[in-house]
Amino acid sequence: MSQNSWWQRPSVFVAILGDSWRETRDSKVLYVLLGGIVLLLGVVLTARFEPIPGSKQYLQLAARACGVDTDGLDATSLNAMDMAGRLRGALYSLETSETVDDAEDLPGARWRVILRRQGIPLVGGRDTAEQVSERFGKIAEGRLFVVNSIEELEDRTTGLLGIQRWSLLVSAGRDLRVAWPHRMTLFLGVVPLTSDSGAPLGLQIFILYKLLTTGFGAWIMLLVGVVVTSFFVPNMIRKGTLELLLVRPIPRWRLLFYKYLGGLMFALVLLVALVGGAWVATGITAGLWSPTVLWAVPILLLFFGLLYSCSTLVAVITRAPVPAMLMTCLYWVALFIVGILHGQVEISRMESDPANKSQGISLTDLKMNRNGLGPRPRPRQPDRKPLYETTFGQVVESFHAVLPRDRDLDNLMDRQLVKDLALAGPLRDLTSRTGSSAVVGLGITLAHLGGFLFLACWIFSRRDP
Amino acid sequence: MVVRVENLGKVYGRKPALDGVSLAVAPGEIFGLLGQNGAGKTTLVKILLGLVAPTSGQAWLLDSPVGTAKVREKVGYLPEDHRLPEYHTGPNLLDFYGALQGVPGPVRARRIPELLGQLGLAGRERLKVRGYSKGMKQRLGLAQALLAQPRVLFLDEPTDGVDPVGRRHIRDLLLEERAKGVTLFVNSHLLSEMEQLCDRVAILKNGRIALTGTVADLTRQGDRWQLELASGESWPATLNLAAQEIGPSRYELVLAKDGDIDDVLRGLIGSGVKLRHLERMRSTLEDLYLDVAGGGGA
Ligand SMILES: Nc1ncnc2c1ncn2[C@@H]1O[C@H](COP(=O)(O)OP(=O)(O)OP(=O)(O)O)[C@@H](O)[C@H]1O
Ligand SMILES: [Mg+2]
Repeated sequence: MSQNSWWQRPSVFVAILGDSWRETRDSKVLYVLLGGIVLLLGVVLTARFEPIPGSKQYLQLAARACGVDTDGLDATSLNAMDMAGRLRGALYSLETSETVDDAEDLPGARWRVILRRQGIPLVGGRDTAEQVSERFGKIAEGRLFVVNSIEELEDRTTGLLGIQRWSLLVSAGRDLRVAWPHRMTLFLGVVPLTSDSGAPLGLQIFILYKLLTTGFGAWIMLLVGVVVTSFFVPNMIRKGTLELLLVRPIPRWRLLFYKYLGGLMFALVLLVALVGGAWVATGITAGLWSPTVLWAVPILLLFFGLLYSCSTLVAVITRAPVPAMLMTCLYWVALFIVGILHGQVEISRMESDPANKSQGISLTDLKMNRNGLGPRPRPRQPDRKPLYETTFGQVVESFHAVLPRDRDLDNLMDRQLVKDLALAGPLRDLTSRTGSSAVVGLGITLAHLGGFLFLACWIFSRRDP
Repeated sequence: MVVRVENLGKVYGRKPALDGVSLAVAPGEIFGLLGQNGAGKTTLVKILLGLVAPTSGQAWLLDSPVGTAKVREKVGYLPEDHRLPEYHTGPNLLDFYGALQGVPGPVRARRIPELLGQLGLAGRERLKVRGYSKGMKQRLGLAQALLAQPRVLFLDEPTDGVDPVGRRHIRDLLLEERAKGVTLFVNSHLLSEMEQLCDRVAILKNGRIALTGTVADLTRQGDRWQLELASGESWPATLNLAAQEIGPSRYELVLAKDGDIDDVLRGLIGSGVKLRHLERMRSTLEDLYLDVAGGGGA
């Protein structure tokens, strides 16, 4: 019972967590928030995703891709423009395509396709039906179509020149649905959210995930979390309450640290409800289950942990919740602003990099183009000194180097999400924009978090109550 | 010695709260610390519990220097003006504090209902502390101090806000604890209560010990008596002894030695006066306290 280490006396840890849990439950905020989450997810559950006819573009893509080895291609770097560029010399084309048995042109259908290989000379000889059957519908790591049967129609090769034609019966591969245009509605079809031409299902799910988790949803959740938890430490260290804790045979820093973990537990419950709920709700309504989105829980928890460590430090110093809340929000805003400014500096650097210019893509223009053909180039002002060379830019950069960057981990997750959801096009620019690695970001975040906590514990241990 | 304090000093900012305090408390004793508001009583207790660091001097608790976590395992503490977290029910709160104090789960499960019963809180198990009255909070505070069966109890104003019946009850409970060998260190303003409870007291004044001794020694001063005669009767002038009239037919007299009262009684009866009531007075702790602490002010 005496001076054992915490792992030998988990009851203290459990008791303090239990105390935080009661405090949280008592405040009723948790119930309100969970209620809000349930409501939100209820709305998501009324979403309907309806496929609309549109096999042509994917069959054409599949046909062209037959002429290229796409194995090494990163799916996240695929956009229509890239494809067109890469396949300029393509030998395969789609002659005709129609659904079998007059079925509707939807992902569940089967298609009769006439595929033509032409272009001369036939380098490397003729393609066999097996080769075509294997290649058709395979794009990078994804599979849009599978070939059910194949039959070679004619062979008009004369010497090295000629044409090969096949008749294929194809059906959807595992990734077709994600790419297929869907019309999204809310409230069981009452409120349309997409235009009549729809948008790829994967893109819609991606946006939904972002809204519910690391994007908008997280902001609300973290903000509420900061407000609610800012009362925890001041309540604990209030005169008359604190003495009753400090008199226990437990080192002071441990009391504070466990209380900190109690705050994290509050956030964890909310995050699991929000992110897990979003995952399940979109899974049920759209049939897409991308477990990557669950990474949002640890990522957001880490960021909350950073904010809460700041709040704890301020609370220990001032013993009051309002300064803790305000200072934490200020810190957050500072991080946010430095992040934005850093983004601008990065952009200015990329814009003046000849490697980027030659592609004719301005990274600042990240708005989605209607036709999905990638961003429009933006006119540049040649006379202005690029931002990254200015003193201001350098100050921003040095701040950014030492401050936590919450978005690094976000971006890592987004990149994986994009891969899962077979998204292509301008989004990849959005996600691949950061220069620094997620590991560095993680390290800096943890360093700040640890620094705040250490300082808080140190002050707490040394001050008279 | 359970508590030993040598030349202890504490300065808050520039104002000294304690100034060269030395005292000792023996095992099994109930020690009372008296003094005016701001005299430094709470400060002294907090130093003994390691909550506040002394500026100078030394203090030992259970023969080890104060301030270590280990020694606090054997100590129960009821702070003044405590604020129990309001979101707990009584049993939950005791369980929480018990766990922090290192009391094993089964012991807590047994002790908590027992203590709640002893302190008159049984039947309110589901009520959150928010709904407690002041006296109930005080009792619950006392329960958390007693929970771990400590060897030393520090009680800062233990009966603050408790009704007279409850006070009596708590006093009995504390005397029971002493009977078990627990040492008690009590801060209070309630002098009559301290007089009934404590074996020894010290009076703090402006951060210094002004007076210390056993209650019996301190209150035994001279031989004072009060007499009440049958109504309408007055002190016979024939007695060559001046009595002070303190009310209708009530008189007080101070005698030189113990046996003198017999002479007075014989004289009274001899002069035909009817005696109704006779009481031997002691000087109260309050008289003493007012003498020592009241003079000069804080
Ligand atoms: N945290 C503190 N900061 C500054 N001064 C303090 C602090 N705590 C106590 N003091 C001062 O120390 C002196 C002694 O205070 P203490 O609380 O020990 O008195 P007390 O004898 O317990 O009084 P009371 O009977 O009112 O409880 C007072 O002058 C008080 O103002
Ligand atoms: Mg006091």
